[in-house]
Amino acid sequence: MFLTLTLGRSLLRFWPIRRPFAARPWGLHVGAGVLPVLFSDEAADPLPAAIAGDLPDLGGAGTPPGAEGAFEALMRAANRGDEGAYALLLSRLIPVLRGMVQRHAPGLGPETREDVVQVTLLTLHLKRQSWREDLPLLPWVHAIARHKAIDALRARGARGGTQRHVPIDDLADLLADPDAADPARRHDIDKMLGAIDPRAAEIVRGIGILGESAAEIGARLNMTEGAVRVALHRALRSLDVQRKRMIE
Amino acid sequence: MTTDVLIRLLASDARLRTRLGTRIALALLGGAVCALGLLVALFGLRPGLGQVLMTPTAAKTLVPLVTAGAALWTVHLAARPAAPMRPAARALGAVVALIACGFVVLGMLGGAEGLRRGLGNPMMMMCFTSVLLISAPILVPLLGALRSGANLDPARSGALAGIVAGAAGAASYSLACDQDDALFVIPTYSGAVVALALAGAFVGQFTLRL
Repeated sequence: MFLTLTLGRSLLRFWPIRRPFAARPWGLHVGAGVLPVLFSDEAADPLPAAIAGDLPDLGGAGTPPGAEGAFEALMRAANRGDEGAYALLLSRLIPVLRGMVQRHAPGLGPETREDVVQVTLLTLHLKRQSWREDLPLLPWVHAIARHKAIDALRARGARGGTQRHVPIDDLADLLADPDAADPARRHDIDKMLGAIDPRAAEIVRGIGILGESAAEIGARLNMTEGAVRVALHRALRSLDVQRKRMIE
Repeated sequence: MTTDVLIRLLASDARLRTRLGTRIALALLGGAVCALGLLVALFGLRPGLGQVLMTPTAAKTLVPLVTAGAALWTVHLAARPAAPMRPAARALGAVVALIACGFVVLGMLGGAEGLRRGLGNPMMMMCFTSVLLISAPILVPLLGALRSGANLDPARSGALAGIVAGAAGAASYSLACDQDDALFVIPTYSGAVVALALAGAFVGQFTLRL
């Protein structure tokens, strides 16, 4: 019975039924929240200088960073191995993703929303072969972000919705020095890295936190650069699993 | 972990190693080789296969192949969020509708006796299970390849993979099967394809989650 219901529901969704306009995720929201973010330099996180160099020419100095085709050009360059283009693309996508997650899961607290953004980033990375290079990038990003936001909402519902968001201003007097390192974040990293293979954790720590290159880590760990990259890819898959568990 | 750290990590792994289409193609190729090997080892090819393929009986092989092609087109797009899936879904729907219409028309032409002969054929269970057996080596690697896609509806993708595998398995098995009555072939092969679609949907729900 369960299987029949599940398959029936899936086939109903799969059959090309004309849905109400509100159910079309991309068409409705283009003007509402995404475009202002796309065309705003301020909205994007500043990109570390180390990864912002050698960016591809996206059509001249007057081209806005999120202009049509720019995301796609960056993604195509990234798929060919251009790390700078990929870093720029991801940093440009962050505000877009935050907007999407906020819109689809407004009930989540800021930390959980940021977790959803990070899980979405990881998923975009691990599933980027599912983007067709002749299609626009943002609808693909949006579909995945929406899915992840809804997953997070479901997980919260499964926990009985016991997490409540308390405005941080109410706790201002109790907060520690804002300039100090965030122990929760530190604990978060340690916890995640502790759950994966030690060598992979070393690679993640080296590239992500210490800013080392794959070649430098390879020399330190007596591995080839290619092996470091393969290990990093596997570590990212493990981190994806860890992240999902933390959200669920 | 801060988002900046994550971006740095992801950017270090920028190069895309294998395309989704390549993975699916390789999975299908491997699955088809295994299925054909199994077919030859277990049943062998039917006598006079070359001549049979020159007659209308070839539809027994061609229709499942077309079904598998349409389902493959659809599942390939189902693993790509925001890709336009409607034309592929319509093509698959049209193929299924044509098969159903064919069965109805042939049933009307054959009458009650024809239906009794087709549906009461004692070989039905044997052919049904044989199609399932031949299809399994196609379904497993196909589901494996689809895991690298982004399946927003895993049960649907699994069901479509089941249709691809079942239809391809039916096309393969038709090279060995000497039962040519359409009123036997359509329900038997279709039943096996539906069973595989259900199995694919069930497995896909757990293995194809994004």
